[in-house]
Amino acid sequence: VTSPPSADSPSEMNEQWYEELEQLIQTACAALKGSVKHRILIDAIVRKLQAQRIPRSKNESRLQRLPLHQLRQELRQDALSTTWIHFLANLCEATTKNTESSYCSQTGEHVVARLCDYFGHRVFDLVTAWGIEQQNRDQRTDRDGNLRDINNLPSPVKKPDLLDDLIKQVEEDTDDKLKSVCLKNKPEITAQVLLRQMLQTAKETNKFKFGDVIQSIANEHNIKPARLSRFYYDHCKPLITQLGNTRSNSANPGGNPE
Amino acid sequence: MSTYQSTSDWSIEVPLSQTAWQIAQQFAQEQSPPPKATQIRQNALAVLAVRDYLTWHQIETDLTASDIWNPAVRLIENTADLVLPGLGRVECRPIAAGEETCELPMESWGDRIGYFIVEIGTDEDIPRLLGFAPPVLDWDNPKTELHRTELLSLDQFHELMARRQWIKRAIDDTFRDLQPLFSSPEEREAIETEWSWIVLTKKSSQWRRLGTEVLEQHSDEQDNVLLGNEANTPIPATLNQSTPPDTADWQNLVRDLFDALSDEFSDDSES
Repeated sequence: VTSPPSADSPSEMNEQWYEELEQLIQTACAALKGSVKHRILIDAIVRKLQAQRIPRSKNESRLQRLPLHQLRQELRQDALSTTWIHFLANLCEATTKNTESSYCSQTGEHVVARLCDYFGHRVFDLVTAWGIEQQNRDQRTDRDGNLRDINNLPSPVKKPDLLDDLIKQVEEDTDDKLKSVCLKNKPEITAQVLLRQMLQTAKETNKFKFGDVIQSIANEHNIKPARLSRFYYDHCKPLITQLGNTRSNSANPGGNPE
Repeated sequence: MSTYQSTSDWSIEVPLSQTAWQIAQQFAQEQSPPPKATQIRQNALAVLAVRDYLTWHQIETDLTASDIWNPAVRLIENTADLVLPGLGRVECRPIAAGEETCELPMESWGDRIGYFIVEIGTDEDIPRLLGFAPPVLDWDNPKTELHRTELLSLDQFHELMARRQWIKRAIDDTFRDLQPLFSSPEEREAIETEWSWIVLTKKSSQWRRLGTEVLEQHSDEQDNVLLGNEANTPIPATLNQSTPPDTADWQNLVRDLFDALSDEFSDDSES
């Protein structure tokens, strides 16, 4: 059996292993995309490949030249992430096209070769990008590593503390939304009361124990915690979500995940 | 349904991009004291791993609609949710490499399709999806932690989703008259999820009775809250604009729905 061209060759990766992989791929690709069968078989293919520590690539040796161990791991994981997404999105197309890897006699070999090739290219791209970034950084800093153009950097914007901000808005309750919703037969338990206690406890103890606060208020008013919790979800949480969204829109903390 | 067994056979590694690691770190550093910061980081990593896994399967997700993406909610709650548009939320709980159990916090009991459990090791380790588990439905006697050995395989998640999507389509199209029974889109998602678990885990002879009980329970829960600050304010029968069908009518509709489900899925049900 021809070994995958750019992969290491685990001794266990024999003809039977390739045949099993090929069988899985053919059955998966014959199943309707999005069906339970297709999804379960895709998982089985991934497990089989991951068990053999595939993909591997000679390009991985480029990672060894990088200075930090953790950086190497990050780049490797980044390359793997892109590789699996691309590989699985194109798995069935890859089995039907006669591509450059014609020296592979079996579909299983061909697919493994493609996986390793793609991973190798992603590693190459990431290492190259890292090198360019390093060069740019060198140009931006002096011999001691200090930034040269410090005057051009934007000054950091100090946002008001989120917890303080929330406490303030709950207290103000400008449109009386929080005061106007209460538990049935418990007019003293309004959305404002619940949120105020929740936020104040977090502020005073530096702990965010949602369940403990619910339990404590429920005990105090002799009601079931589950009932209070549902009240929070249905009537308090939408308001907290709204406050958080307002803040997110003013300064998106995570950026676009895509 | 699969019996519980070791998760080692069905776990899957889900490598994360540098961007994902940076997002988790950024969330953690955002005005949180250290223990909370660690919690937020691990939760975000678990969510991002599940998101990538679902992307592999071309299952649509909406990270920005998830609570983990909202700075206020992730500060107050211990949340690791991921929205599947039109279907509900899955909870993605992190578990440390050496831990045997993971916490199911109260914040995760509401409106979840189920729990993904994700092993998050050190920064050098690749997150690993260990398995799937049912949501907490009994709030009066809730399950507060989950042991590794209790996990279902990821196959069960796919089986559940097939039923979940079938039920949603059926109520969108054939059983449209059931829609006025749901007081909100969220309640509809919750009921459809409970029905999906019933169809996955119970005998088909029990489906109709259990499905009807789910509807009745949700109706009772509506009675617990007043809108308006006067205790005597009448409770709105439903927040929906449409008129709900009579009891006999909706019971017939539910019967027909579960008969149709039985035709589609009853051979798969075991327990």
